[in-house]
Amino acid sequence: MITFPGIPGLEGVEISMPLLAFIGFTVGIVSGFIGVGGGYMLTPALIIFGFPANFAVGTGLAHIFGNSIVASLRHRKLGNVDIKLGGLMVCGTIPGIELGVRLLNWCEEIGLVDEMVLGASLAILSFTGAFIFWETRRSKRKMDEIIRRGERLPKDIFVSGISKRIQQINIPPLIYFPKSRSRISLWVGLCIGVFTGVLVGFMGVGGGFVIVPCLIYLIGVPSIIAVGTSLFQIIISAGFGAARHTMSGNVVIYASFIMILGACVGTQIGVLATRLVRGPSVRFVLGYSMFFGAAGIALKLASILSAEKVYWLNLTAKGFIIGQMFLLVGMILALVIMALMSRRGHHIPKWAESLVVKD
Amino acid sequence: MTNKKKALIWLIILAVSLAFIIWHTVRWHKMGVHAKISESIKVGKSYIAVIYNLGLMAALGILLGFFMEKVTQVIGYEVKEIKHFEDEEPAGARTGAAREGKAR
Repeated sequence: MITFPGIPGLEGVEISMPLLAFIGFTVGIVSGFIGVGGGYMLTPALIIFGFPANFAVGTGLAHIFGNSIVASLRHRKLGNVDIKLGGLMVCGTIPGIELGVRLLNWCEEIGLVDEMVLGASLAILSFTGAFIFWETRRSKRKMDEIIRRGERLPKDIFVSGISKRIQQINIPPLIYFPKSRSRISLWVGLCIGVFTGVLVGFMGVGGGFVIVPCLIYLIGVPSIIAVGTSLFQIIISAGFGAARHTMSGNVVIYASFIMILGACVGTQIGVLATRLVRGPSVRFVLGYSMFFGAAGIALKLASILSAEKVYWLNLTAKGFIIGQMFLLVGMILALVIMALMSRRGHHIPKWAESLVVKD
Repeated sequence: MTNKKKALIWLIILAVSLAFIIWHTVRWHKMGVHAKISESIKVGKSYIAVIYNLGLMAALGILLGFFMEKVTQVIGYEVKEIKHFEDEEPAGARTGAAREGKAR
């Protein structure tokens, strides 16, 4: 067990070192695969295991900053990072983060920080997760039809027409991104950046679970390029957020350090897995992770609102957060195994054929 | 010198650097230096904490990222670029075309 003596606000807080490294490892796999920082799993997990909310947010951001560098270096090798697009969105993210941090500090002053952070997380995860599920199921059906017709499967396909409408917004200047083959108005990119920035600063997340769906559905970027670009953007947004939270005294650097040692291995697994799967796989795992994250947060929020009188709620929330990490890692590893089996000529379930890359 | 040998040399250099950073971080935590850095925020010297925290995480991120890359090179796992669009040339074809002088 490790303690944090001498840091005001953390008196009596104890956490297991292997648990911290394991949290980093599992969040790293998921983070590298779906392009999120992992804060929406990390922040509730740290709160559940005893960190005050403001420390959970700041410490999580410091970890996400470091881990995103690890993930981006690998994604860049795979050709998954659109630096130009990421750079544009960062310009909007930074002012958004400042707004988010001020909002968080105000919530702490009025004594509602746990409820507000968890409540906002719940609302955003639920809505975004539901949309991703709906769209990805339709995309998968389309890919299954392509297989039935005996045609060649594309790497990615999505059915939402929102990106085409957004690309028709002709407020100059319009910018073309050759890596992603998309064109949008500068102002659209900046607005999406500001929105994600507020979430980063307030919720202690890298913003990836909003950035990735925005890149895919609003800008029309292929899913795996969205993953890499999101992680690149998260370096800047999480770094700025971590700096801001350090200035507010909310970062426990030793905990971030232990988590990144576990995360560096997990991230490699997650990133390299993107070579073996198609776009809908990434979106399915993203949707599931949001659903599980929302459910765990709902349990924790119920526990807090009941003034912790219902003991089993808190216990169930802890179990759920840990369980979802195992489940998501299991899903990613299952996809990897099926892809490798398919490449070696072994039989895989029919429903998986449109999710993996055979060659 | 083969690519694998070069990767091995880099791996050793990166491993030594990482070992130093890990030793430093654990030592400073046990000595209470991290707590003192947190206290510097209260006396208006928050820049010390910002530089240290971000510097440590950036250094770890870069070193760990390159370390893992060299590990995969040493074990012989080849990492190829992903073809995202149907009309995209694979990375090998571009290299081949450049060698033949057909690059624009």
